[in-house]
Amino acid sequence: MASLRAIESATVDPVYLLGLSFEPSTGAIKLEAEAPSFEHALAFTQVLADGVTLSTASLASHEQLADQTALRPVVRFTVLTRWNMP
Amino acid sequence: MEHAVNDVWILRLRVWGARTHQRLGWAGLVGIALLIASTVWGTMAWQAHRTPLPDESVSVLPVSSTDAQRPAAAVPELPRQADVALLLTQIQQTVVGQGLAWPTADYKLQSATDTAPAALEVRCNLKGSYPKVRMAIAQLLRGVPGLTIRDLSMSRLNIDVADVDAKLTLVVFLQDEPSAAAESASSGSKP
Repeated sequence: MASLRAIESATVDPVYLLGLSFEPSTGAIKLEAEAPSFEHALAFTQVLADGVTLSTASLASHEQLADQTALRPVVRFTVLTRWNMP
Repeated sequence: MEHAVNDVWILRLRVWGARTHQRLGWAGLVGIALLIASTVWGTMAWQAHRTPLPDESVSVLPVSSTDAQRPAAAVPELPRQADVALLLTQIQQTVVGQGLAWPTADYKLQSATDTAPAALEVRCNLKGSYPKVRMAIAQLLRGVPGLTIRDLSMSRLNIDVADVDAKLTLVVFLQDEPSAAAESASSGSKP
C-alpha cells in the first residue's frame, strides 16, 4: 500500500497512468503511463526515484504517438521500479 | 504570646484584603478569579490534549524484537480449510461491496508441504475505478487473516477510460489439517 501511495502522489497532471503491475515476490513494479512529452516522462521517473518508498526507478521505454483526435503529442512510456522490501 | 502573633498576622491579612478591595473593587477581584480559573482550565485541557488516545499509542509504538518473539496468542488465527466456502464468500462480498464487477475467478486449494502451509489461491479479474480496486484490496488485506497478494496488475485502454481491468491473485494461508491436506484443487468461475 505504501508503494501505491508513492505512485499515486507522483502521478499528477499531465502524466496519466495506463497500467500497473506488481510482482510481490521480487518487489518489481512496472508502470505504463502517458505524458505530453519525453521531458514529462523523465521528470515523472525522477520523482519516483527520489522518493523513499521506491528504491529505484528507470525509464524502460517510450514511444511517441500521434493523437489524431486531440491533435496533441502523446508519449507512452514504461517505468520499472522496485519497492524497498522490509 | 503565640496568640498575639496570630492576631497580628490576621490583622495584616485583613488590612491587605481591605486595601486590595479598595484598589480593585469587586469587578477587579472577580476578574482575577476568572483569570485564575481559566488558567487552571487551560492547563488541564492542554494536559488532556498531550495524553495520546489508546488507539494512537498502539499505532505509534514500534514493535520490538521481544514483541515479535511472543507466543502467537495476539496473532489472528489462520482460517481453517473447512471454512473455505465462507472465505470465498467474504472475498467476493468485499469486492462486490466496493461496486466492482467480479466476472471470473479461479480457485485452487493447495495442500501443505514440508516448506509451505496449506493455502487457497484465488485468481480473479476485477473491473471498476482505480479507487474502488484499491479500497477492495485494502479491505481484503485488513479483513482476511493470512491473506497476501501474489500478483496484481491493472490496465486501461487510454486515459479517457475511468475503469481499469485488474488481474489479482490472492493467496490465503490456511491452518494445517492433516485429514483435509491430501485434497487439492477445486476451480470454477464463481464461488
